[in-house]
Amino acid sequence: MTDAVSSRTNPDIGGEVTKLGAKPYPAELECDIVTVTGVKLHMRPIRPDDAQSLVNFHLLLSSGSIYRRYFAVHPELSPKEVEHLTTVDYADRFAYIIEDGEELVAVGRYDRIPKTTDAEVAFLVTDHYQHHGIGILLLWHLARAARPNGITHFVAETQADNRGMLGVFRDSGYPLTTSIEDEIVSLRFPIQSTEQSHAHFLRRTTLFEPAEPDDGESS
Amino acid sequence: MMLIINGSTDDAGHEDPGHPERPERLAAALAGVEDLHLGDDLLAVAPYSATRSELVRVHESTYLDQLGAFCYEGGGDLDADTYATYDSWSLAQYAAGAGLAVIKEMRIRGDGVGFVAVRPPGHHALRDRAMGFCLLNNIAVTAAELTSVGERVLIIDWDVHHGNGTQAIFWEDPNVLYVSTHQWPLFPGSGAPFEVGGLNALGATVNLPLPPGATGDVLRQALDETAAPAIDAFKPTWVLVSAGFDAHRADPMADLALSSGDFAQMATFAASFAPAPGRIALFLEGGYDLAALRSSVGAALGALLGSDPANERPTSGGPGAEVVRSNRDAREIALRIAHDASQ
Repeated sequence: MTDAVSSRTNPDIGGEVTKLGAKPYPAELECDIVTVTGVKLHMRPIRPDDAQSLVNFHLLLSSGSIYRRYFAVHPELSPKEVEHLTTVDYADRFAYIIEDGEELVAVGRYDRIPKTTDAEVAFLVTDHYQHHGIGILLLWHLARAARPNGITHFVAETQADNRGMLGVFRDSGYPLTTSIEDEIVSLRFPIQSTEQSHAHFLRRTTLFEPAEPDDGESS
Repeated sequence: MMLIINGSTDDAGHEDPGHPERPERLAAALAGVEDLHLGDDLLAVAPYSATRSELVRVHESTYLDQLGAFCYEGGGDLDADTYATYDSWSLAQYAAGAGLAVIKEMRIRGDGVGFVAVRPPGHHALRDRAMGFCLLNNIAVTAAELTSVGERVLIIDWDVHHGNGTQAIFWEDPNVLYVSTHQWPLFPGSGAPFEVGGLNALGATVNLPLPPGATGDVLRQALDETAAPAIDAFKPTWVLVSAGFDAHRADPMADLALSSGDFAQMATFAASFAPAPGRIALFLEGGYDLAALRSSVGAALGALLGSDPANERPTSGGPGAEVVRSNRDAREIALRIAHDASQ
């Protein structure tokens, strides 16, 4: 079994172009995903009322996972941080959460770098669901959400020995530009759908898409 | 055997509500001392604030000025983890001076065990930067005082986080042997086994990273197989311990799986390298579960003082034995490459 997940929608097909700025909650971006182990999870954009779930999620993370994400001890989220992380404009700042029933098990987000068409992207997945390919799915879906908002590139930083995270970017199909300094790998890549990223998505869809009928969003 | 501890300093002014590095930690550590019922065998030395000349041995003067000014302007967040308040500058200087006062008393007596029970902690503080809850590097200030009078100082750092500040400060100092056990991966990200010291001090840094879940038997294996030969060769005249207790299995900040009984055994290990009585002092670093901190402080000091608190049993059976072996190999290769490069 490979380390991957599948989505019921194809994020690399693109989305409707909408105007920049704050938007209402984009319910149309909600979808179900299925891990390679057959676990069905729900993915949706974050909302302000996810605050308590996000606090609980952070408390459940291992110390190593927190360090990988924040490069810091960061033992708990402050109320100010929670508000910042859950209140997004769905344009310049966007976050997806993944739920297993009522429990939040992963968060992925992008934040536009002001006055540029770049956005910083980051993921955090509970230890239990790491190496299930959830990160790559978050990346594709975040790219899909970002493109209509004028974002053309994602940037990210990760530790040089964080093979799991580096593998997500490598396997995404996006053409990466990387540099390394002080054991930190900096990545930048265009997020338009490419033949390669589309092929990577379809390969996973073929392997892991659940047998039930498609919901019509994917190609 | 007498326990020599720094005198009481009111540390309540260094607090950020909700932050885990909080005044209750020091109260818990001191409760661990009280549990030993030492009576007349407990000596509290007077509080001492480190002087500028003592601090600049390990910190840049401009950093000290900036930190002091930051505090007197009201303080705030220095980074994602580290805070300072109006009172922090004064308290940090007392924390940095506490070890100096303790070793001064020990040198006069030629006896005793030192316990530097202070906060804020110190081992992440770099020459020019606060980091990881730490403002001034308390143990480094004391080690630098000792080396200034010709001593050879072994620092054993069993805090669950790597003491990057201490390592960096003494990276090129052949008179300080820095040995660290710590969880990996974990903040601050340094402490790989191939980090073995600078060209002037090759081998004087020993890093023993361990995976989450590692138990006391694995730590002891790492110390016995990799650290002990290096310490024997170094021949320390003083032993200082960065005694964080956040590797305890109950600690919320990390995922090693030690018990208080393991800290007793590690204290005994450290003391076995002290060449004479009155040559070992423990410095409080991390430890964020108050009950575990209390019991572990009691266990570690009890082991050195001949007291026998009801410790939890030492732990065993966790992962990491293969990591100990690969770490040792990585260290040997790094030393060989560095030696060849320096020829």
